[in-house]
Amino acid sequence: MLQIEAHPITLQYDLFDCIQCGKCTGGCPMAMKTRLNPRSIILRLLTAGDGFDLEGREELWDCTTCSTCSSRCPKKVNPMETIIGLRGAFVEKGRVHPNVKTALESTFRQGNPLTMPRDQRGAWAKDLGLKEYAEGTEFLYYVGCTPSYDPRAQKVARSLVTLLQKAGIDFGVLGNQENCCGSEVRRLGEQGLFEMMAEENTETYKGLGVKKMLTTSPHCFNVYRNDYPKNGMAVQHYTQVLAGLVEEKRLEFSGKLEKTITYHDPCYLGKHNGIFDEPREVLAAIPGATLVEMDRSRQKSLCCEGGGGRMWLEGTNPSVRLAQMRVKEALEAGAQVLATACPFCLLTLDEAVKHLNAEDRLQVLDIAELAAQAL
Amino acid sequence: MNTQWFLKTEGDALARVRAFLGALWQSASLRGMIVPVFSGGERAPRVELLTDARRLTQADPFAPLMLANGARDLAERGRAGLQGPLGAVLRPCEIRALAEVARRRSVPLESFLLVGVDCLATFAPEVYERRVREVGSPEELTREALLFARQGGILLYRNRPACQRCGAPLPAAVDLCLGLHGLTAGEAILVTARDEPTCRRLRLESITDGGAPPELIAQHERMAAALAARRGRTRARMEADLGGLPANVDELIAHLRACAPCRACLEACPIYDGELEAADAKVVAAWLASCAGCGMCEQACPSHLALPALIDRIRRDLPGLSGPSNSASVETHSCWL
Amino acid sequence: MTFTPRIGVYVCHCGINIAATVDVGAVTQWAAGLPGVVVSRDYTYMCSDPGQALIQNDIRELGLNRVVVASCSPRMHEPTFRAAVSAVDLNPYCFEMANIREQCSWVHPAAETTTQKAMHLVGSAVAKAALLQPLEQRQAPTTPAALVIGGGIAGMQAALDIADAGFEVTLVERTSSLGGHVGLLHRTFPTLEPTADLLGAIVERATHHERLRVLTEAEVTAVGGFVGNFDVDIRHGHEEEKVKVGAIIVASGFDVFDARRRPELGYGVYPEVITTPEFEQLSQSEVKINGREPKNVVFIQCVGSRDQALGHPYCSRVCCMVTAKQARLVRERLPNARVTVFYMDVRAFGKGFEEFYDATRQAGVLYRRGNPSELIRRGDRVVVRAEDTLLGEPVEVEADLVILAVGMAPRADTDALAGLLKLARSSDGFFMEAHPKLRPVDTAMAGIFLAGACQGPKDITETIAQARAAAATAMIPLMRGEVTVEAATSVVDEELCAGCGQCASICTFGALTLHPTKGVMVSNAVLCQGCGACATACPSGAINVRHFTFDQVMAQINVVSDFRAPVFSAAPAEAEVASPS
Repeated sequence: MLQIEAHPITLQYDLFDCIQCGKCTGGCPMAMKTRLNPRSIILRLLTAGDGFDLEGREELWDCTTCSTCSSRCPKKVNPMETIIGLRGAFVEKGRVHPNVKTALESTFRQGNPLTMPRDQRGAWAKDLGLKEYAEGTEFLYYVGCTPSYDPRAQKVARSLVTLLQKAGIDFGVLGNQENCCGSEVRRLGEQGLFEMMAEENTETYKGLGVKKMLTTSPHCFNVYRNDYPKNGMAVQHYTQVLAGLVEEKRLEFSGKLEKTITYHDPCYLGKHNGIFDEPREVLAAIPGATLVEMDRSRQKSLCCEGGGGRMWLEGTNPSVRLAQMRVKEALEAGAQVLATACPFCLLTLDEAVKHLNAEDRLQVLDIAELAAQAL
Repeated sequence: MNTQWFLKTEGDALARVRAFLGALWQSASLRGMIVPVFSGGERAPRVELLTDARRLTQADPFAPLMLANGARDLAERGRAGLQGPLGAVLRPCEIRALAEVARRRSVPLESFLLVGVDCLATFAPEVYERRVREVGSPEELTREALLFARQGGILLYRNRPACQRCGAPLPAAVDLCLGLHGLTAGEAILVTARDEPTCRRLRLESITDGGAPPELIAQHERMAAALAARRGRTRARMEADLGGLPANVDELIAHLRACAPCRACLEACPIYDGELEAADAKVVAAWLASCAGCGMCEQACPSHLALPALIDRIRRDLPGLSGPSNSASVETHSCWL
Repeated sequence: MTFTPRIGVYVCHCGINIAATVDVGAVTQWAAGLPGVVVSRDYTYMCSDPGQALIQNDIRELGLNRVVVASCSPRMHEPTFRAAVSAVDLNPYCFEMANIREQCSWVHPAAETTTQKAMHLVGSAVAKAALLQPLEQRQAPTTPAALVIGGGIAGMQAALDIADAGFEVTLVERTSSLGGHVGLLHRTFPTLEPTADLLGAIVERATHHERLRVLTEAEVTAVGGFVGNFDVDIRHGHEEEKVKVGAIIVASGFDVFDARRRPELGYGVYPEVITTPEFEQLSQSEVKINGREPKNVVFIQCVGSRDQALGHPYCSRVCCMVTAKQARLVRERLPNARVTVFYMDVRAFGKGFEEFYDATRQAGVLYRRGNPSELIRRGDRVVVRAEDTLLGEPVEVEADLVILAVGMAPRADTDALAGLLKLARSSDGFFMEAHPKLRPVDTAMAGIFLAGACQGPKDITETIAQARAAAATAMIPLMRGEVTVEAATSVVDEELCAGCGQCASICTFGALTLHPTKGVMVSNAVLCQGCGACATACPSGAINVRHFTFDQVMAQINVVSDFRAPVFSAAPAEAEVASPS
């Protein structure tokens, strides 16, 4: 038994607005392969009366928080947030997967969910001679946990640094002082820890006088833009910054990249924040590159299954992987490069390519890497 | 001989008055004139001592704005024994304050040629700024104000609270008075002198457009009476709204002391001379009794306490005290006390 | 002679609408003690005949000269009570209403404070009543002609009715031909009658009617004047012309919802995806997609309807039946095709509609409950991804023709037309009627009426009904030959006016002009609608609006601002009937 009160939840998330049209479930990428059915969860909450038993509802952890459900809803209901709220009930009772526990605890103690030591966070850039952020510097480059520690994602951060330096951008980093943004913590349902981190980080940035920030990951970008209390800080995803530099001709590509590229819209950049054009503008500026679109692009982009804490959870049906479907779609589109702009997408898609033995046909690269190659 | 004259304005009262002040400068052989003037592209006129008559083309004695009461500044100059003769163009409340300061500090005013103007009431500084933006230029705003001289000014509630309650918008005890209220300023304005010798000395016959027609004088007087009645009603309403604010001298002293260390109202008061430091309620009462009603205290107060209304209420209850009070002159509303 | 107000106060229970939350008895008793009040009564329904008789009796027997009714909104019953007091020779402007229903009992719980608020409102109405002046209502002659904007089925029908009644009508149509959206339809529900038969006769009559002037490729560029006497500027080709009319009917129609605003449905990307209006065209010839007869046809309902996220929260009312009709046509034309309709609710509310829906299903159309979330491509087919909410399972349906039942949207130029005619729009963006139930074809602007889908989604039947209703209502002033002019108009105090012209610059009715010699403003009582914008703009307070004078409004504010009983400082003199100059 994991009994919760359903009625307050129905009010908190305006579930009475729901007309049970099924658009959420119809578009849900996880509904294709698991028991997850957002519409049905809403109806169950509405009809539960006082008590609602979460016992056995493991599918709530399948949600990747891609926000397809919320973006399709004609009545402005937000099934994704409702699911995050229900996860909170699991967390409160301590009934979570050991991996989730580890990730949360590591975030609390080490400032990252990857169980990596805090004092190694800035190590990736040791040889780059980056400026430490101080008041008056134009941009704070918020690197993020995965690009700081993961060897594959570190390449993205290094490429991005090259690009920013080439364009003469005045930026600084926080090095070991950088702390996790809390995006995944929030989406794993640990709202309390998230609020604490948000407050702490906001204080730090305020103290440093940060006015403009750019991030590697769309997840960090989203959390600062939409979940943090208003703080007067202008946050941009790096693709927005690059697109601006390309447009102003402050960043020009002298190299050539004779490749057919297809772009995979990360959920947290596209569906969550409506940023579809800027990444494509950067790719289009690369000499020699041919852009092709997959059928599911932009608002219809298929989730890679890396969000919503799913980097630490296999889910209830690991035999079918969306990332592999995505790689097949990229191959069908005739692409040689599957480009993305999110560390999670990069890792999941990369793994899928290996799993499908397609390394000789398809390369997964971040836009920052592609752009740096074309300099 | 007649003491009332008029100026034909031919559609531009401001220009006519500037020319008249220039002529006055000549006829009175002034060495300078203290007058609100636009300088260096500022959006608001400031009171300045002009020593060059040519700068009168930027003078604006009618601008609906009062940033400070000029009385104290003028008294300082008088006490410093400035080489006269000097002209001073002032609003009624400035003149009342000046008379009081001069009396209390024995400042000789003989070396001044005092010119009073009918006050068309003023806006709070931020309202003035907004209106200037709306109409385009400060001069345009003055012209708009002059347009309503015949009506005795625009709707009261748009002005500063002190102006809304001012029952004496016509200057008293001056050498020369420029009359506007009740007149179509685009056609004519009144010039009234203290007495016949003044007329002769200033050669008013030749620098005005002749003796004032009786109907102009009558219109001016009618409007003065109407204004006094109109503002009397406003004053009554404001007093009714005072509610629980201090109602006697002791309470007010306690209140103002509690307000320390702000003191903005005291610094803005043209008459204040450290009375609050004295422990004697009588001294404070005497200060309150001489209030000119200019409302600079209220304008300076960060919490916009309705000080003039408050002082008025308290003053009414003070026995045996009188001064050049705002309400005392309401009853007479003649040009001369 | 001094005037002494003799006020009667009448507090209405409105059944339990007011009485359940407000202590009506206490309010009545309290009002009886107010200065000037001679009698104070309460009654179950003041607007009923016995209620009105109560007031009329008191006027006669107690010599009341001012009447206050505390009941509902004046928009509801002010005309009723004005007529009632007029019937016993009290000037209708000596009547004042306190709204203790919409502004009090309906929006507050039953409580002591609610009763107190009702007292505030009654007290303020009494304070104003004591200062009310009788006003004379004048008549202005009307121009016996009408203008109809829009040459769709609504506009044509309204124009024909008015022309048939003997008035001159000008019909302005923006495009080059008459017929509007109906002209693009193939057949109509629920009879499957060919539209060409139905529309042809109407277009024919409209084109050749002797009293109906049809101007195509024309548009209205300016509208001045007032009910009975509008001056309209029309651009017709390259020519400008002016017409004078007594009434205007707006029948400007709607826009089809742009399905590209739901990009996940692939409209404009997949050639297999079309809209219902496009199917009307397609079904008039061979039904082929990509050169082949479709085998699997899917209809998707509610595209651009019931969609709050896109600002179209309303039901478009016609799409359910359009879909049923088109699904039937597909079954008829392509007997081998499978037809699936994805729906949320089927709204078959009209006469014969449910039967038509039955017949559609009986013809072999499969209705599945669930609104598709997205369309994706799989090979040479598109796949409709939805959840069948009754099965509780996500489903994928392959299709070679997908028809989106797109809703009706307010026309993109609604704002421009609203600006010209000074019409209000409701929250859905369509033109707003004067009252949703009681005055569905009127607008807040006297003499301007609404017909058809410019007021909200409608099918042909409803459109015709509304067009004929609008025509009939518009003809009232035309047939009477004169209109009553609003008496509560602005008046300029020449003593206070400086002629600065700020009032004229904000008056939308052009009612204020500078007097050529006096140098003061003059208000035209016929053009003035009494909105009061000039009164608030006047720097010297020279403008008052009759029946809403500064003194009257201040008296009301004084009462409500600190809940004191109205005070009469001096009894105002009974003015003669103030006649608008």
